[in-house]
Amino acid sequence: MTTRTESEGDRGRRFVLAPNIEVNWRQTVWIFIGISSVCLGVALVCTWFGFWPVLPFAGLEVTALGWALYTSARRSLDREVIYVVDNMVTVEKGCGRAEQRWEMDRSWTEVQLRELHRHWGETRLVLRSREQTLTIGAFLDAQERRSLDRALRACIGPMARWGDDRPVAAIDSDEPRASWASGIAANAGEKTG
Amino acid sequence: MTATTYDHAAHEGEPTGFKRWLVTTNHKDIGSMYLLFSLAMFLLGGAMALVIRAELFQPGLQIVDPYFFNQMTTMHALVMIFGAVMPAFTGLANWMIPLMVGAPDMALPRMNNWSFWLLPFGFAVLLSTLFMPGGGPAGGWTMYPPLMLQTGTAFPFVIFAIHVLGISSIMGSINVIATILNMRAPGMSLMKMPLFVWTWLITAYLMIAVMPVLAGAVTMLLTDQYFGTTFFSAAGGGDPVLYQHIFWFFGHPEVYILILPAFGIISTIIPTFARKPLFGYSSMVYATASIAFLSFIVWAHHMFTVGMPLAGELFFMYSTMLIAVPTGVKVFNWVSTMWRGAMTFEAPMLFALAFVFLFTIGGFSGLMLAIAPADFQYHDTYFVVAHFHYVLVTGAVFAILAAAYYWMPKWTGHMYSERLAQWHFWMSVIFVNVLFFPQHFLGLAGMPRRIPDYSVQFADWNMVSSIGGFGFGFAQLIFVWLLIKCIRGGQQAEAKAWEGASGLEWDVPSPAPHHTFDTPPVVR
Ligand code: HEM
Ligand SMILES: [Cu+2]
Repeated sequence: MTTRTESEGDRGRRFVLAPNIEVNWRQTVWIFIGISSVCLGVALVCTWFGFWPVLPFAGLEVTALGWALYTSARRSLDREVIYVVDNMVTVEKGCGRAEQRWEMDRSWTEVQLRELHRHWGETRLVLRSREQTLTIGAFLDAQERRSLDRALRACIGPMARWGDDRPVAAIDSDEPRASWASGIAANAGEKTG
Repeated sequence: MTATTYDHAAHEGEPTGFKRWLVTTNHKDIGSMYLLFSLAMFLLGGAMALVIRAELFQPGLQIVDPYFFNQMTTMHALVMIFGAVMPAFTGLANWMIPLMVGAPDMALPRMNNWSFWLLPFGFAVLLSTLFMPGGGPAGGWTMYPPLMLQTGTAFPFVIFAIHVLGISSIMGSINVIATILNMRAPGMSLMKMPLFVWTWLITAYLMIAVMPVLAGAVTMLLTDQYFGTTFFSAAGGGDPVLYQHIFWFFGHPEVYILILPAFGIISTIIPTFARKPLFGYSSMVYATASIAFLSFIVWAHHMFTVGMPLAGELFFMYSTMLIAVPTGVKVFNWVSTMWRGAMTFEAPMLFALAFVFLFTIGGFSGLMLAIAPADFQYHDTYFVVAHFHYVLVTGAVFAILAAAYYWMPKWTGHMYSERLAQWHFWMSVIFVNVLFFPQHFLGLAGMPRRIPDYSVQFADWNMVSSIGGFGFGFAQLIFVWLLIKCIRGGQQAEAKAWEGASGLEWDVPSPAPHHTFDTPPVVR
């Protein structure tokens, strides 16, 4: 994933979370064209020889493949944006554009890093405000989530210091994929994710 | 706080017990299910093979009647191909591809769940045909008409099962393609992908290209039987030989579907235990792609004896021989990787080495079969059986076993017992050769395949072969035992279980955590 944090003046911070994938749409389209032309070409030759039942199967299959490539590529546009500004925590989630939006009181919101599943040591990062909980950073790995948790705690909640813009720790490497564990491709600050 | 929607802690309500496995969308769960299913089918298909070998232990009819014998050869092949080898590769793909490309999961986790569960369903249908009036399919896995149309009540169920298994593999390969193309971590360009990922991409390509042909072919069998069409019936203007063309246009690429991921596995394991990078990475990629391309234009080498024009015989003969070139490149690169390497011989490496030797034997007998005039002699003899078992057992199955040993520490978190593994390996290599090598002699001497009884001149080698079969079958039980032991405990595996290993999968702890990354949320 890539996380980008920015200061919003001296009133707060903004976190942009994105999945850690790099979709090369043009390449995907070319490979799709390659596969489907072979597949449909074969089916057309079969049809030419009178074996038309091959054709509908080929058509179905190519459609399914196209759908699968399209839906999975769209995921690369998934974003979660967390604004911690003034007395407000705003979370926006969406694909390409903000589609859902939550607002919470900055001082009444609690950041929780929950441990799940006894065996696997998974975590989930949650913003809790009164009765409501909102999961964030689902596409981060455990270490990135811990780091985001620390950064959020520093600026959310009654005891938080407002406007702490230390870099998000797990995300301080400029070198993408230096190693799996240290958080892939991320930066704190200026670069775009 | 204003919230337009708010999500409940979805994970906390996660199902447990059987339900968890039924609905899981996690690539590791699904990978494990594929692998265990494949192991079960390997044992079942193996049991069927032993029925065949028991009957062939001596000339004459002793144990089963000829019709049941034919059901066994047919089912054995279908179970091994669609139940053991293909699902094992899909299981490995599910487990390893996301780890290798740095993805949180497969691209379409829910479809992944479906593609797995179609398999047990499809096989339940297929195996149930053995108990139907008239018995199961007995026309061989190639299902040639008109013989296949003589199947009893089972006929439509067999066709339906083939469709279901086909849909399952298509969905699996669509998922693999989408994962490889769209889920790679930033910076992993195509030419930086591990070879296992590359070979799977090409395999998935082959599957997408030829599966509609199989689906069409079996559908036409169905309509010929029940709806009065005559695609393959000479009486109505159709042509049974065209069925063979259609079938093998699917069938030949299918055998490459069964071997290309194995090439990827061997190209991963040999560098690890030779402690040297793979020799000629890009030539490996191009060789794999050329093998895939050539596999589309050689199908009629299965049909030299049907009466093709001479030009056709020559075309298919030479194009088939051409495949030896990229395959030779691969073998050369594997050997060069080992050259002056600091080799050690743990179980994965032993199986990989056995693969290189024995698969090459299978390749050479394939070249012999490719010589059209010679094939008139070999066709439908035990020589063919020997050939494809060298390719499929010491090729595909040995590669899968190598992969299982290689990644078992990553899956279970424990090291397997090397002592048991050595027993398993040596028993397997010795007996597999006792089993299949004599079949070359039987075939050259003229013993036909798919027969329950034979002339006494073939008695000695058949007895040897059957002993080999039972020895090989027994050896696999060692593996089952080893696997159970390894799942239940054993020496803790380190994140990087093998000193010379490289690749992203070795950077995550062993066992790989359930969610390496979490699934990206689906925002609606
Ligand atoms: C466990 C060891 C195995 C043994 C002992 C074994 C034995 C046999 C025997 C005796 C036959 C019948 C040959 C005939 O009479 O025509 C046969 C056929 C066949 N086997 Fe195997 N086999 C084994 C593993 C496999 C595997 C792993 C595969 C595939 C991945 C496989 C694929 C086939 C195929 C495609 C046929 C041809 C069936 C037909 O003629 O329609 N076998 N096997
Ligand atoms: Cu072939």
